[in-house]
Amino acid sequence: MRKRRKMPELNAGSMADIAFLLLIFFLVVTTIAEDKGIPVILPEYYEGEPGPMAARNVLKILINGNDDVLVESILTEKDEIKDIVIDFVTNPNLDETKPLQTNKAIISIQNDVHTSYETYVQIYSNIHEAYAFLRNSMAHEIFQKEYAQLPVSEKNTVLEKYPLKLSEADPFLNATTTDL
Amino acid sequence: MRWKKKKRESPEVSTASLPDIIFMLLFFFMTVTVLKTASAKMTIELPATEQSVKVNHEASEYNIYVSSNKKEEDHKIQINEYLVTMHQLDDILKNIASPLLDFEKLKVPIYLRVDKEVQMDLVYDVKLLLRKHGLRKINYIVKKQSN
Repeated sequence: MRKRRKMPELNAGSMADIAFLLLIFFLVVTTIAEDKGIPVILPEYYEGEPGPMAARNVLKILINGNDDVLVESILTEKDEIKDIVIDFVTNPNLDETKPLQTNKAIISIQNDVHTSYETYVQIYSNIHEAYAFLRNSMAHEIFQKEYAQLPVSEKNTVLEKYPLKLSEADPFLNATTTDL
Repeated sequence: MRWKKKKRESPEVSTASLPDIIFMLLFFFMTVTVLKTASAKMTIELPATEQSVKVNHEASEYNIYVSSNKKEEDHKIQINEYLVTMHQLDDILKNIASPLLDFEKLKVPIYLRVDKEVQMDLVYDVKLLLRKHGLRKINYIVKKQSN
């Protein structure tokens, strides 16, 4: 015959300690630090020359091997690029060298093989900042909202007016700074 | 007048629910925790910019690290946890891209973590490879500029 045995009582007193230990482990391991980035869609791959662009629609930005920036052949500080881009795209004075419509504007960047990534990314971010500003001000004007809060259809209306068209030419070899 | 000093017993704090509270916290952190899958095997100092957007991580992401390491010629590029040469990177990207349709390729996020000292020719080569394989959704990971 089977004897009925009493189940031994589990000591739950240390449960809290175990949970604490695990908790502290996960607290230490967790990384809440988030990444920041600049999202970009690269242009499609093609071989050969790009098609012709009307000169008035293109804002030419050149960066040389010493990280100097030339905007339309004028030596420029990195911080000034945002205002230059805004002025170029909106063309408030109806300049002949700037596009007639905002959606025609093309920003062209060309860099040297010795240009540092830092300079390149900072210029990139300045251009993005200019467009973020333009889109935001249009969103406020028409929809009285932040651009980020607009629904997709309204976002597209804004994007149609301010599409960011970036053209990145192949880097040029700067003969003066090449050391081979 | 004489005050009757009553000896009051302080009420016991029930600790019976303490494990439950701790467990709750534990589960919270367990679900929130993202164990770092891969990290750079070289020192990379990200550039700082004024404008940047929060990055949402996805399971299908790829991280490409480019360091400005000047000593070891071949140890400049890393994709996820593998140190690769430019040639191997080409093969890996080909393997990633070849089974995908064009619109699927545009959904694969590639995060470029490039040291700020790196010269653009190396970045250009990596970008050219990405374009060649149709993996065009990239993200330049940067630091936020502190003023």
